[in-house]
Amino acid sequence: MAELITFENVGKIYKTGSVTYEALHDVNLTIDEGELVVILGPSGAGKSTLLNLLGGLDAATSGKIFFSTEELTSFNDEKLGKFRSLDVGIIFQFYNLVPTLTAYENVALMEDLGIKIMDPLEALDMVGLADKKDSFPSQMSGGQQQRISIARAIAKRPRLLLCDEPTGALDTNTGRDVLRILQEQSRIHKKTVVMVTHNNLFAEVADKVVYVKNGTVVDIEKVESPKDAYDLDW
Amino acid sequence: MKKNLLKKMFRDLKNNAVQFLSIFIMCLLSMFMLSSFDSDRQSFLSCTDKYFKAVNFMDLSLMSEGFTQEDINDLVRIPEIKHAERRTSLIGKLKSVKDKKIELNFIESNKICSLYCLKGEPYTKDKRGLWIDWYFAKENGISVGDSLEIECNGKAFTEPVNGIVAEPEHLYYIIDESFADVSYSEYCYAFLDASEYPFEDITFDRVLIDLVNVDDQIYLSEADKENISEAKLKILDGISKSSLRIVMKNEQPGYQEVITASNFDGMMVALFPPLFILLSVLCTITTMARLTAKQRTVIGTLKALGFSKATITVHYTMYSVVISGAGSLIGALLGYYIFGAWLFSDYEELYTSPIRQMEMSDIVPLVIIGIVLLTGLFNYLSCRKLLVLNASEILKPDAPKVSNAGRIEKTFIWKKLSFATRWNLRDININKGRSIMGIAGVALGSSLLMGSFGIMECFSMQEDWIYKRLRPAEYTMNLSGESDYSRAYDYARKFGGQMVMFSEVEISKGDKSKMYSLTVADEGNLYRFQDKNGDYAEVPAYGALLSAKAAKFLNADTGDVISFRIPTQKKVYSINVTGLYTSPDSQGIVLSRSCYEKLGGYFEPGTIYTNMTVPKSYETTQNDVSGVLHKEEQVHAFRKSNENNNDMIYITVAIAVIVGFVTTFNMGILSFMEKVRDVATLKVLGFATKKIRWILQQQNLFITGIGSLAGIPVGLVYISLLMDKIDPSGDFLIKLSLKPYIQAVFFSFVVSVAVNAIISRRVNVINMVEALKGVE
Repeated sequence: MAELITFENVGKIYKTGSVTYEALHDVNLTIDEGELVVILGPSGAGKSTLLNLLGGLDAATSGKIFFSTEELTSFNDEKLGKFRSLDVGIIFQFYNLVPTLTAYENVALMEDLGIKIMDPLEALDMVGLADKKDSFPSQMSGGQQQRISIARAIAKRPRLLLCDEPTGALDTNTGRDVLRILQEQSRIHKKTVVMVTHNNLFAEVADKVVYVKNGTVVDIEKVESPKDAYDLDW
Repeated sequence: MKKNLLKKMFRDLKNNAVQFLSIFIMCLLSMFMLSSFDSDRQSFLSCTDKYFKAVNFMDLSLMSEGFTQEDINDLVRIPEIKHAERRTSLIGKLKSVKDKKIELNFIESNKICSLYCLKGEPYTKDKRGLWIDWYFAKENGISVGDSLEIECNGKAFTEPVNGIVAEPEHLYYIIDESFADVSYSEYCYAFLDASEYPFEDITFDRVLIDLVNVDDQIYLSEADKENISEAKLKILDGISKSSLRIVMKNEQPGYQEVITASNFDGMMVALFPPLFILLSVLCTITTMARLTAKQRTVIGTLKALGFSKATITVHYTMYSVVISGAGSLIGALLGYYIFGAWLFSDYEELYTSPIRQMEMSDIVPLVIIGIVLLTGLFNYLSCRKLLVLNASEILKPDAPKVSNAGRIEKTFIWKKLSFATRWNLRDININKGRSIMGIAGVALGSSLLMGSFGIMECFSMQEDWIYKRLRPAEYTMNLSGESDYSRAYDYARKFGGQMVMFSEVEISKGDKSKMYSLTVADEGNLYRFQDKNGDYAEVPAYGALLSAKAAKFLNADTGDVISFRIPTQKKVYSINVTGLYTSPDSQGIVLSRSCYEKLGGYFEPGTIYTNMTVPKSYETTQNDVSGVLHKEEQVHAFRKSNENNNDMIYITVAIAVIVGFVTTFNMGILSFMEKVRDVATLKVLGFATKKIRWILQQQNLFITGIGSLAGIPVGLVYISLLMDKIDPSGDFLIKLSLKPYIQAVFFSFVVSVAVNAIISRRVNVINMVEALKGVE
């Protein structure tokens, strides 16, 4: 499989007044196209920072990040915006749906980016929520909202799906459903899925597991026979 | 705009309906006010301007005992004069219309102040018949072709009606002193060719002048005014006539009336709507800043999803653009079609112009654009402030502010303060912006209330000031030109009255000079004056009282020497100013009779003031009495002439109260929404709802107290500005009682406390869990 993402000696430092905090340092990593990658690590390890840099939500302080052949770290704000709109689908821990739009409209919102997306109903159908198309986020459960969030992310057919603790706010059964959908995106639809979690169990469903600790990648493990989400002993 | 973002915007507007509705109402009311006053003013000026242009209104008018054809020839030889024509008039009775009074004007040509023909045929030289006032004709059923029986100075004759016309010299006129106010259905004017003059020798006592280089009418430029003044000087040099009086275009009564009325509108436009607009913009900015802060996560999500900064900024800017734009536009239209049209109906009642078309000036659309741009700009800025951050930073919650009340915490007083006071002081200190906005909102509302209540009091005091303090006489007897001093003296003795002479006068000091009025008062206490402090000003035995506004224009003061000349005389008098006075109806100088006579002037009283009953029948039985007015009639006329202004003030007060309420309500809601987390925390900690509501009310009272007091001086500035400019020929008594001060502060508190009481009821139903989650 071709390399989709490459991190070369990437570092990220946050500054708040006179206080500096090194969230990431010297990160080297490659992610192949179509892989399901799980980034594991304890709280404060730098997982979310890594994900933010991957998705162009934040800028690295040092090092280089490549997406396919393009260097993300050389992109300006406008180019990063375009990158996010075309190539990245983001799934947040707390769903981040627009509360004043229905499920259908939250997915259809991607049309407003000026890009061609799949039929929002088809996207909703893929996450099993076509019948909830007219419901507002406040009328749905957490799991349903997260599935809408996934539908929103996949509707624009991105090459990369980024998931920040996608099951963090969900119960076990609902979390398994969400995990299964993400797995399908990788297996069936050949999307590259990068998932950040602190739940070690999720390592079993991934193709590759990246262990992060104290702001750096401490290990990368290839999983020979990933489990199905529903086979997890959760 | 993007379809789904548009849906989001409308749902956000709906979900924050109270705040956006208040912005909408504020913008609507602001533009309603502006558009009402502006359209009234613009329509007054524009209709008159169009009318004057259509009929070539005079640039100058000359008055003397008689003008010959030679005089006209001399006049037209002056290069600045394009045309000059003579006129004269007689007062008669229309026997065929209940003996109503008619002013018969005899003309030789029709090039200046020409007749605006509405029906019938236009004026033709040497043609028999008359052209009659359209307003009177309409009210009294007179048509073209009717024959009217007229009696004038004992001579009766009949004239056919050739046309129904309007004539600009009669734009605003009272036929004689028997009428206290305009009543166009009760008297009229008509025009006849000079050949129709009913007596042997016609004497033309007026000449109308059209100048070469003056084309503007109501909107006179400075150059036009200079050209008219220059022409006036050349006429004075070139025409040797005794008792020549020259009146410039902008000194004509109709012209001045329109300008005075439009000035009032102009002041209302300049004073109140800007404050309303300021409040609207303030409300919009505060609301939008709050909404943007509240939607921080949504904005971050949109950015993370790939929406460009421009798209997100435009999306949020559209909120204020749509609401303020719609409110302003609807307000402007309602103002124009409802209140403006109602105000303009006065034009139809008071002026005889046949052109009556409402207009809106460019100011209104420009202000709407200004409001939209300004609120849009602040929206853009508050959005931009967030969007410069990376998406990941926007998605993180805003860092909490340091909770500290400042230096006061280090003083011994701090420990003695109650928890509620300390909590409030810290809240105010860490939310300075919100607190300042709150104070500014209350201050602006309070200034509006102070201004409105103060102006209302000034208006209501004016009537008492005039008719109880300055002109207490029960009857005013006006003498006609046929009266002389001995007749006036006889009447004054018979009715125990005070004789007063009025005349136009040109007052000069240094290189400044202007036409004012001269008042010469005989002994008596029925025609009084007051100084600037509100005390009676005695008319000096020798010396002059100078009106305060004239003193300001002439740069004169007590002790200065001024000179004056009655336009019909060549003699120039010099006199020492012994004091300044204020007057509700005239500006100029006041002399005692003895002083005037010592200067060499001839005392010619035109009015007698008395407390004894003067029969109304004198108007018809005594040739030398032109009118007898009882105080009630004058008061009635005064009230009628102020009706329009009073209406404007009442509406302004009503709108000020609504605007004040809406501002306070909106600010209160926004403030409460920002405190929801803190309130929930207090509730979780076990504070009773009643206690929490009292804490909130304390802060509210503190802010209202500062705001309402801060608004008072602004309101006072409003009052003095408006009252000073409202009428160039009269003063208003600005001696306010405590009432408007108390009203302004009281209403500010009532509105504020009521609003807070309504809003703080939400403490009862606050969802502690949801509020503390801090999630959208």
